[in-house]
Amino acid sequence: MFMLFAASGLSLASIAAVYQSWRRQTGPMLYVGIGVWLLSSIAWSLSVGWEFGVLYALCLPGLLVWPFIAMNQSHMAVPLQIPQPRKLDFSPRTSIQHALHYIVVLLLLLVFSVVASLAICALLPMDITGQLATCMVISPIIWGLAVYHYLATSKKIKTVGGYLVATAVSVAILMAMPI
Amino acid sequence: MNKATKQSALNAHSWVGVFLSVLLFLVCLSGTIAVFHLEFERWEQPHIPEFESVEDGAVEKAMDSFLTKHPEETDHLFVVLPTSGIPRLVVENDHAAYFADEQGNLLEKENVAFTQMLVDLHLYLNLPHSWGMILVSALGAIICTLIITGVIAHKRIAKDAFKLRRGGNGQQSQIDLHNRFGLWASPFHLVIAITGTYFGLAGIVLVLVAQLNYGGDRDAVINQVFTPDPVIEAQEGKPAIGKAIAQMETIAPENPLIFVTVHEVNKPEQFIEIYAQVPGRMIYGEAYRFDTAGNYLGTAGYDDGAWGKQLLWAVYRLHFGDFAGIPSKVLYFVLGIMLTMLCVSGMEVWLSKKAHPVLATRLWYCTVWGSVSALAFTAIADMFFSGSLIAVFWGLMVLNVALTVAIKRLTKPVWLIISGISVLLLLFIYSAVNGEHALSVASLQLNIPMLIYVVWSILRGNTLLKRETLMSDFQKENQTTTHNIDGNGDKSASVSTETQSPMA
Repeated sequence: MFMLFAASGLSLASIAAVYQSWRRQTGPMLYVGIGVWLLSSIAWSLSVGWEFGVLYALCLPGLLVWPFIAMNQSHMAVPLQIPQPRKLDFSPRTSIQHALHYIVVLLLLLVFSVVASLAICALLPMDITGQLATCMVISPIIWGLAVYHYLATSKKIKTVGGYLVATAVSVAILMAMPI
Repeated sequence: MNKATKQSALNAHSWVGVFLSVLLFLVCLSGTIAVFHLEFERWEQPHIPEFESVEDGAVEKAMDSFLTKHPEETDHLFVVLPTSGIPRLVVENDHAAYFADEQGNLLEKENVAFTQMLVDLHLYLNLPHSWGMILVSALGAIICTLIITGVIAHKRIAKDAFKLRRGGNGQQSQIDLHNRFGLWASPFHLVIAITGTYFGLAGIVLVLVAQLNYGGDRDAVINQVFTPDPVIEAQEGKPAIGKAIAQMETIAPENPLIFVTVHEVNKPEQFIEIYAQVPGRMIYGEAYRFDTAGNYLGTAGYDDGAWGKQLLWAVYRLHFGDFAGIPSKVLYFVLGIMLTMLCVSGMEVWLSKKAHPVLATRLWYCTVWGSVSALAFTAIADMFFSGSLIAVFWGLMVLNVALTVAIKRLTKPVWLIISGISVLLLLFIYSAVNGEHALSVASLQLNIPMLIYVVWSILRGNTLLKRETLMSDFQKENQTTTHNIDGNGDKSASVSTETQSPMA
């Protein structure tokens, strides 16, 4: 029970230190905050086991930060001007463009991310369970990054072509190096 | 990071957030509520007796009574034990489930239609399971995109880390809330996104690996990752469930039992498997195997197997927060609300940047608060109606949209109040239907939070309604002034004729 209280206290102290560093705009307090957060991760791990401990240490700042945010609230004046609502663009051209984005984001990049993740994992020196578990962790991240890349780039057709080539290469790797 | 990189990240963030907002919101909302899916199962039938342990022979007695009532063919028999997270005894096959008391007397049929509909909404968006699950998994990857682009696009991530600027036209407050939720709870969001994607991608990965490397044999892949069925001599006779359970006191006395499964019922390969939670571990549980006569065969090796197997076996508890009882569920619920509010505030920021297009704004709030109302009415329907609750929920959602298009008064505060009144109505009807059982632990653990929601939503809705009326009066006054100044009746270009009130 003592470790549980110590871990909770350290989590709170780490946020307080980061807040102080933010208030004073000083670097050293930030490093103190990070250090205390690392200590809180260890304390959580010692009290409830590392699997839960790391999760609590990562998630708790999301809750503990709110008193500090509340302390730092400010109020703005109500503006006198109310802008005119802007019209939304439902033109056929824009609608088709968005529909194509949906297809690329939800279908093409799904296939790419799964195949590319499997190909990367096939190259890793692990047993099949390790390879598949790694694939499950990295595929959403690869998918997410690919969606970002596709939507951010102005050369969409070239990018789609690139992903198709990468998918084909990944399939070739999987056939050459079976999982 | 240069300005162009931040702007392109913001563009990607906006497209994904806006064009998948409704789906993201529904999955996040239903997932946040579904954290308490076991509690909802108890809530649906609050009169069922609850206990921590059963008398000797109760499990076998309950199963015998159940098999007399349901002699139909089945591949599996299940016994859910009171140490599973629901303090009740349930016996079931692949077709029906019944409660039993602690002596093993069979009670009534399990009816958890609302919980099933809620979980179905979260896992499949109520679509056909095969591609519904893939779509929901895609949303997990989309959350990854939103986290990455959100962090890159934030121009003042360190400078604004603790800021919350309220008031004004509400836009800055929404931006601040969105950014604070997004930054500080991002580790949780990433965990939910990755584990959520797993559920849909697992099937695709399995098919792909089987096709490419195992000649289409999916079982070959499954057997490599998870433990295959034990190879045993031909079995016959009634499974000795009671004997198997009794042995758990010596095999794993510290591990709370979750459920018992009899596999391949009445077939030569029949065997018993008992799942038990492993304290201090994130894995779903360890499986202890017995032959039909109740002789111990060994474990499936989830607790001490390869790390990859343990990781895959930990995804369920990691995603649903079902690992440390109510405290972990409350943590997941609160962080889940933050993720849901992230969807809502993100869309509100986008709408406010468009100066709140009238119909789009109303439709968004109809989706957000109308879905809470639709869920409440679906739960009410469940008490009187045995048909499809999915049809009820989506029928109500369509009705909400139609009403919102037709009635201009259905703005955010009105929908918020409607959602509160709907939940209040649910609580009244639930209490009337369940009588004294509405005051049992199984009921109160959800009814009290629901009552808190009712009070909050009605108070908040009223505050927003007053603000909306004030803004409307201010607008009219402004218009009159402009008329007087212009003298020709033209409306001022800076004032909207039908402006949605900016709401904080």
